[in-house]
Amino acid sequence: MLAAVHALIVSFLVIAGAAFFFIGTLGLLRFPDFYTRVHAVTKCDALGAGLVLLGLAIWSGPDGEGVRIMALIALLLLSSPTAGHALARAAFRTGLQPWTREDGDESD
Amino acid sequence: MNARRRTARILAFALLAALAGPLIHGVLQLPAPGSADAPAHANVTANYVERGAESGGAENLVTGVLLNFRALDTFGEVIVIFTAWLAAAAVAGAVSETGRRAIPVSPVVDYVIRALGPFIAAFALFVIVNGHVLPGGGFQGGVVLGAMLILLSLVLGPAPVAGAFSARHWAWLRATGVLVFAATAVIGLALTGHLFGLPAEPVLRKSLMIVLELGIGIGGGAVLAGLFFAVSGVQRS
Amino acid sequence: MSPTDLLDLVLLALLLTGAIGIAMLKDLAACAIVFSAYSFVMCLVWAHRGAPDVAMTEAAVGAGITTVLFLTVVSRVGRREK
Repeated sequence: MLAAVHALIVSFLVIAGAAFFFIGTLGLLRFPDFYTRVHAVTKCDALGAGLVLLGLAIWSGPDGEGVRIMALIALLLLSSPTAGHALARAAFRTGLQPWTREDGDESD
Repeated sequence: MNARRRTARILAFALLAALAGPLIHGVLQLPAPGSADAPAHANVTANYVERGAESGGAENLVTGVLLNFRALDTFGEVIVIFTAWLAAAAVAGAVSETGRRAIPVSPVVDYVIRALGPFIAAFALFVIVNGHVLPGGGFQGGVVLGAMLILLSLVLGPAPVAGAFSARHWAWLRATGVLVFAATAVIGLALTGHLFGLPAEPVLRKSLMIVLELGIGIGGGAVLAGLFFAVSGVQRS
Repeated sequence: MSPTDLLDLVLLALLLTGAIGIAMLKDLAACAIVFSAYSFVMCLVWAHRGAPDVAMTEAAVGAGITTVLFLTVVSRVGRREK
């Protein structure tokens, strides 16, 4: 019974993570400009990978790789948003104009 | 011009085709991947796997092979890395400064990198020192160290990182790998009678290996950082 | 076909795509980025094939350091292939 609940929680977390990855990739492909794409990828990447890793950490338990995977999650939650921020900031500082609704007609 | 270009293209294609022939022939001569009677598996590998743990002196077989059975090859690699930096520094010295406007560093990135830096350095040191038991070693830890230095230079600007040591001290750091390796080779000669030999006494052997790994790691990291400094034009030789 | 074989196939297909992409691209900055992705997939191949020592080096050097070096050089020499 406990094993089944354990497996259920793990599968839920991993599948939820994969779903976030899917949505993020969809955003990367479908969004109109650089900023919206970075927005989609950064958030879904951090959350998707975080959830998958959390699932794996629970799967291996505290005496296995679990603690190390938790450290990995901390690193991921720190580095992924920073990378997204640095990308968007570099683009804005070099003068890339964000997409607005007015030029939506020709770009889509 | 156009005709000449076309001739050049045809020539290049012919050359590549001529090169591809022998290469494909050579690949076809190779034993099937993973086949048990391949020369590498028949003699050398079996020997390494069988004797590696005790006579290589390291529980991580890869490290044992790198530092003991194939020490001369590894010494060559360390020299190649050092030479790569010499060449890059020599070429980069000739490139003029472009004076591109740098984007001011974001406080967020600055803070995160300052917080992460020590952890990366600790990880690099961990990988270097534990090379004989865990995956990793001097080269692996060295590249992590180099990556950290480059990351810091990207965020804080290369000048403060390059300025941490004088150009002269950097040069010594970059030569550490070669110098330490040469020194252990001679020590090995004195202790065991073979160049690059490692003494059988476990504590002595382990400490010698750790010193060797540290030398390779520090040298490798400093060389990689030096490549970046050379390419970005902060440090001329 | 076992799942590990399938993973190998997917990784090798990605490598091939990356290699062809690098050869076809005219934008050197884009080349550097694709090369970084290529190195990362290569790192997965090493790790999956049981060579964690090589995988670590590939991740740090291939995906990290060489990308920075390439991009730095590209930013100094211009990003279009002539």
